[in-house]
Amino acid sequence: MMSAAFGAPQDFTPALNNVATVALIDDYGCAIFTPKGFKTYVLTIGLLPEGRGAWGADFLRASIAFMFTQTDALVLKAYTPKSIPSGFALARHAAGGYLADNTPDHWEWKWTIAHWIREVSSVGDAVALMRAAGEIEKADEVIKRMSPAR
Amino acid sequence: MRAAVIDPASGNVVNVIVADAAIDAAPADHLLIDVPDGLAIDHRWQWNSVDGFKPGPELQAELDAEAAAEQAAVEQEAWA
Repeated sequence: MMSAAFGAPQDFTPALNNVATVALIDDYGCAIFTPKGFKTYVLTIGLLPEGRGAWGADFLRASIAFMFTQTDALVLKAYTPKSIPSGFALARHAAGGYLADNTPDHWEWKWTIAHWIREVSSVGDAVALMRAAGEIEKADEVIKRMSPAR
Repeated sequence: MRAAVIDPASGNVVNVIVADAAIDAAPADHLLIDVPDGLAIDHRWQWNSVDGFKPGPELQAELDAEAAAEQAAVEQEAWA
């Protein structure tokens, strides 16, 4: 589980009362993206035992794609406690996060929209998904900033 | 409990004191308004009966500048 605080239950009631929070839920897990600054969200993911492994990796990748193509998100962050090494593997190897900070008790991961488009998606696919979701301005921004013709 | 002393003409917060607006009297020609818990009110804030407490022009400009700087930093990182 990736979270911003470790070792104690977190009360997500305030976050879920915030209309800007994005909570994605599927059969074996959930991903909650809490707004933290300008177009930036902090990810907390919870997986049932059945969701750990390939399902969790797919779910996390799909959740990140959702955020970048169907919301205003430009930057995503997550914190994985060093006491749970599988969080490192999930964030880095399965989801392609880059290490933004390394403290004695946790790693901080980031995903930026440009990095995600270059490494995981493509300008064309990302723009198509954004347009389908009604994120027209964001799609135009991607074309303006990342089109090969630039 | 904290309360703000308000100049009723300008809405400016002129002081923040330990008081209860329901019990204590306001200084002469001023209003005494309880400060909600967790709100860091100081002289850069204003109050009116419609909006309650809100940042004054100087503080609002500072907040706007901070937001603009944050926005620029995020966009630079996001699109790099």
